[in-house]
Amino acid sequence: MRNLILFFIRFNALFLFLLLEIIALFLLVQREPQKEIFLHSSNIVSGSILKVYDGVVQYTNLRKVNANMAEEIAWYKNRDTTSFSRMQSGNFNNDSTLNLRFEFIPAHVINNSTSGNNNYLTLDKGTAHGVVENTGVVGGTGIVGIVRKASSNYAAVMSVLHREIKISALLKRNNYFGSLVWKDNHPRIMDLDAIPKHVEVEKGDSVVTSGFSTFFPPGQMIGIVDTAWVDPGENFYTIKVELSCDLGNVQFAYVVKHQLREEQKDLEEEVGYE
Amino acid sequence: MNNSPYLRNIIRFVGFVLLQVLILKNIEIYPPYIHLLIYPLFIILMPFGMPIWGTLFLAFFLGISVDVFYDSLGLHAAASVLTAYARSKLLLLMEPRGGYDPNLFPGKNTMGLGWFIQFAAIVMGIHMLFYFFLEAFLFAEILTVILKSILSFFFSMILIVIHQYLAYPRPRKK
Repeated sequence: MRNLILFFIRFNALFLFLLLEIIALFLLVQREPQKEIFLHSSNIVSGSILKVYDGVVQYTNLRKVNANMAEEIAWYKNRDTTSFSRMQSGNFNNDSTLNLRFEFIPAHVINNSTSGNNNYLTLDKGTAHGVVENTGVVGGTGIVGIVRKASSNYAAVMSVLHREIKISALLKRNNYFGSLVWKDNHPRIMDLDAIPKHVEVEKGDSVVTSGFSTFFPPGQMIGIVDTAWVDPGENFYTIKVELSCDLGNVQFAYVVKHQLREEQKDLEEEVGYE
Repeated sequence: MNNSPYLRNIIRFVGFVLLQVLILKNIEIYPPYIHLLIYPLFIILMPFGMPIWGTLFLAFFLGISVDVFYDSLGLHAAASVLTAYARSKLLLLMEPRGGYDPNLFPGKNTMGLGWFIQFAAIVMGIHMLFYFFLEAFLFAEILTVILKSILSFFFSMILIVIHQYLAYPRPRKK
């Protein structure tokens, strides 16, 4: 017994080192959300520090923000019904009982990264503003990520530049769908997988969200095809998509709340979708 | 400036964490192989007389503080704890004749520039390699890990040497 105690005293630094290392690694690999919330960047301390800091540096970015806002306004103007002349159609049906499916909640990006393997953003809107977990986030010109956690005033968003992201996307030209993943470390290039090789794909084709996954409304712009090729012996294309939204300077974003998400999820689970 | 080692280390801790998460985190260079890390300098600069358990605990909290802002809970903490342990072993290996003065801390003025750079380089090298390995978590990306480590190491070392000249401009008279 005495020898054992002497042994522990002699190596106590080593044991403490191993203990702390194991705690750190455990924190790193465990993914249980409840435990993580406490130390997440959506927590109140780091959230407020980032907000103050952001308030200071915001002024230096105003020119860029204005340019982005103008671009965004133009984007919406182009899609406004008043921008189109309506063609007379036989069974046009004006329905005033349309269901609101998607609600956009504007938020300010107060923390961001694009250089890691797994990138996150923090938004300054939380559950108090109607943000819920597992909702999509779009920027003015393209998709940004998925809300992973929301505290009452902040939301932590998994960026599309994340190794585990998988977004259902389709080629606008012919409606073939695949999944969008981030493989290269380039902050503007993502890969569109699972497009079969008989499909015609050209540089410049638009890639938009499919709307299958309930995170994003259908038809949200993602980017354009940069390069596409079929490796010998493969049945699927390798497609590099250039994102239309530059994650490196996104300042404002909209949380997309799908009003009927639960209903769709429940139904799909009942039938046993993956 | 002030001679209280407690106050000095508290200011350093807060200063390095804020510098890391508010400024260096936002410097993003393409290709994204360069991560400027300054916070391990806090571990390097802890006093010689500090007990090992103290350095381990401080390193753990330093890592956790940085992790909170990086949304990478445990990643920087694991790297920092390993770095602190390696540092204590390295101090024994690099001990000069006559030992260390427990009231001093490593620096160019206390131990000489050559000794300090050698010491800081080994500690930072260990930190960088372990950090990028943990971040990738895959041995398939070993070339990227090594490339990232080398580039980040080089630029972070420049920061550390600049810090030495800015913070301690003149050699202290004994």
